[in-house]
Amino acid sequence: MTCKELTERVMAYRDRELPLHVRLSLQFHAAICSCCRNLLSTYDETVAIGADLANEEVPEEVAQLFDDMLARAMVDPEKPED
Amino acid sequence: MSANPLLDRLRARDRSAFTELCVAQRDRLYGIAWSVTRDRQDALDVLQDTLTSAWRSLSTLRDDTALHAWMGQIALNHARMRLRTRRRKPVEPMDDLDALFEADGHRRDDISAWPERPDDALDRARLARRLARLADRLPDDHRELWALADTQHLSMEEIAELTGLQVANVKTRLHRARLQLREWLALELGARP
Ligand SMILES: [Zn+2]
Repeated sequence: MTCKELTERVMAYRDRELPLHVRLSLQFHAAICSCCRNLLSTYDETVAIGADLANEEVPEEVAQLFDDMLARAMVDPEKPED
Repeated sequence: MSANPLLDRLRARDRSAFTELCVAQRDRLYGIAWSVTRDRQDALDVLQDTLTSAWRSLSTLRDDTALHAWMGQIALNHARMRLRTRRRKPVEPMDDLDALFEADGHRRDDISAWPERPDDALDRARLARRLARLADRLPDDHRELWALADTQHLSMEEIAELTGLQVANVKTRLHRARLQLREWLALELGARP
């Protein structure tokens, strides 16, 4: 396996979607290529940093405003409430 | 009558059925809206527009409509429209992946390891915001897939359902987006790319 082939397969490797022989061949390449080892670790980091963006909770105001939003949505065009 | 009593009630414009559906979907819809717009007010507006559009389109529901996918698609469309009306940073061309490699498939430049990710929550949040800013440079379709997958943890199948793409295409573009973000982030972090 080359660096390019490994790069193309990082996601499938992480998701355990590669056939065993391809997986082993990728691991063998990574064992001898520091560049690709670092690619694997920094790809994981990139995904992990993205996951930190999910930590923003659904804001309290969504729950507070939701009943009003629903009421505003459920207006039939033929029979406006105003 | 369909096999799904909720569908029948929705088509009859039953307010409590609609409320039930929307309450169950609330956080997911907000998550889609927020991940795509990355702006709290925009996400709230998208949520309102989604509810309004859904209520108006109840008559289009078919017996085989998957309700969560249907509402998610409405939210995604509104989020895309909202994003288009707001000026984002100019999109940068993505790297030509082939150019990163020699003809024999070996990487041209070196790739360094990154410093340990900070333990401190504030530092981590700062790093995450840097990544979000870099993601703004991605083409819209790649940015959207990245946002839904990596910040909202939607499955590839869910994203395919929302976007109408094949699962294989979702994976290919998500991988491409991650690789590009990794390259940009490496430059930002001062490590060699
Ligand atoms: Zn390599």
